[in-house]
Amino acid sequence: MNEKTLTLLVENESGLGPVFEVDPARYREAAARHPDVASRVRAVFSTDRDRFAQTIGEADALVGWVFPHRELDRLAPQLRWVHLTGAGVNHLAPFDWGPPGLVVTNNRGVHAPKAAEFAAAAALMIVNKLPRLVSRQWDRHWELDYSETIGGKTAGIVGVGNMGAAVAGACRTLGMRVLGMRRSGAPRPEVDHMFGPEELDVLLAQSDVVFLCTPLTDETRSLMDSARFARMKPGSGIVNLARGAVVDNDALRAALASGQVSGAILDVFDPEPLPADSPLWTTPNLIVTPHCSSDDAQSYVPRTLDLIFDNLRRLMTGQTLRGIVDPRLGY
Amino acid sequence: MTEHLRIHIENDSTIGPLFEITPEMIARAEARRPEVKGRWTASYGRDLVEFERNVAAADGLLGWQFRHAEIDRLGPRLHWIQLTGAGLDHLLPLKWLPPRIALTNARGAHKPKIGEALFMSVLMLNNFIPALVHHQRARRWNQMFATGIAGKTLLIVGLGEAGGDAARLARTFGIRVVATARRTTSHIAAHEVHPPSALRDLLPQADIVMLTVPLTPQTRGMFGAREIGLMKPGAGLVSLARAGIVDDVALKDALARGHLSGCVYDLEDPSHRQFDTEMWDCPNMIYLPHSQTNDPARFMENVLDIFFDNLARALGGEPFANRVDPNLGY
Repeated sequence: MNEKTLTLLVENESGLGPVFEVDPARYREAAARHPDVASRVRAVFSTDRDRFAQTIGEADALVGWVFPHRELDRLAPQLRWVHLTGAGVNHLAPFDWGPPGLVVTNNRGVHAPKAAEFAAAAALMIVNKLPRLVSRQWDRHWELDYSETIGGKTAGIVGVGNMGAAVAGACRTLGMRVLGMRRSGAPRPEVDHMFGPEELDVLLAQSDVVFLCTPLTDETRSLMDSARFARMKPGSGIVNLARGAVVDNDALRAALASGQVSGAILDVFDPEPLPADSPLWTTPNLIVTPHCSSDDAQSYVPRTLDLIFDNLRRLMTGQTLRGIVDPRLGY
Repeated sequence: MTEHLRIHIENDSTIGPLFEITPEMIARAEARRPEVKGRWTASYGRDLVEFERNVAAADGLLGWQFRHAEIDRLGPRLHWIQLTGAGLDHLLPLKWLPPRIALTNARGAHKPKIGEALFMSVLMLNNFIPALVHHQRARRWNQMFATGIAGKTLLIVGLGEAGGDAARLARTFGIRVVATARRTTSHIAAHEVHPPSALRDLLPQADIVMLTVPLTPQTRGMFGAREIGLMKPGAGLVSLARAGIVDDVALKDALARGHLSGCVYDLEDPSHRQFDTEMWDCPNMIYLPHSQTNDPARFMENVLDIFFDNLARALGGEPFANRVDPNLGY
């Protein structure tokens, strides 16, 4: 192992709230789980960039979410690695910034257990028509609305990365058949049948519950447009755990109004927070959760720090880091 | 051994077409129990038209509503009544039931749908869905981050077929399941089963409380301000209880104060029960319209499987399954 002490700058964004704060106390707890690595790291904590400028010049590694990324090549000549504390990193695209040789990693996988639990809830809610029941409750309207058992229904996961695989696993546990779509089309054990991107319409036509778990890239922006909603199985439902801009929400509202789509649960929006005058708040058969589905209030940062320490160990020993963002793909 | 049984099947159009028993459905279900074929005959009636004539000759009765108060006189040959549902509070008290008649219900016929609906409710509560929907209605972006459900405690009050079906799924997700039950002391899907008297000691332990007790004189009013007050601050409640078991006013107050974080509440037709219209807007409350616990494609098939199982038992002289205890009322 290289004996040099690494300087790690941890840049927190207070606007994200305490669930996402990589604070000194949580850092110390994680350091105790990884003493061999921690003894060779000097961590500096900055909030809203209050210690950013004075530290970035000597930093070997940066952990954060929002920072002046386009200035890093100038400000941070020593910087070897940036770890982003979220998974959907489209706000930093294109990935043409930073000093030469910089490796960027993201938090893929950290959300998996909580995303799986939320997906189980969402799948059951779509099959049980909860979005429609909630709309009726607001109208003080009571009506029997039978639904079938979830076993044997089909889930379609659009974007089977770490989160999509976790969602697939949860659907399997509930007895669903699971279809998936990913760029490579390569199989994964959690998915009964995997499609490539050109077969998305086949997946949509067969799925009772569609989960969106893709990153936001040029290829996935407005992926779910009116033509795609028309391809969905009539009466099926959709859950968006990806990014708001993956869905054309006007098209979604039309599909909900016609009944083509029976219900929707949206956790992500463009922009966020969802403006108070957005029609989505009151669209019938649509449930809004404010981007809090997949982040475990207790374990998000500890799991993030375990990933960071594992990558620090890899950095020190010259191994490939986990969760590298491919600059060409943008995720 | 009995050579032959005459069973009267009484349909009730007021409870909806999903619950209609047709000769075709009987034939399909009978094909799964071929040993009874030729050993019984059925008569059919609906809405109690010609009920007296039909029931007078019957050894057994399959139905839901059947002039129970007069049944001793109207059905002198009857020794078995199979109900097509589980919660039989409309027939209580069972003073009308003569000792010669075995009353059996359809508990278990709601599986696996009922377990899915109850488990969905547990997950919704852990993920603050009732509160998030309440904020949605007010157009408020109010992020509420939950912690994972694994390791949390679910208390099932009145563990029977419904609660047991939910517990099976809860265990799969790493939930600790604690229960009260009157008739059982253990259950394959529960970590602990306690007598009903332990309720007040158990309530403070639970992150989520699930009410699956039947409505009986003992359970009427059993979940009031005191029980709600004993729940852990921030806990959630899922109720499958009939009207009259939970104190709605105390529940609304606990939700408004934030003592409870949310409630998923199976609501029978509010025009048929006492229901304060303000309850519609109760914060952090989601109602299910008493239909999420039945899979229409499977429910009556399951009921008929229970019926044929008991018919075979009656023909073979064996004790009935799903027998209602007249003293307990379920």
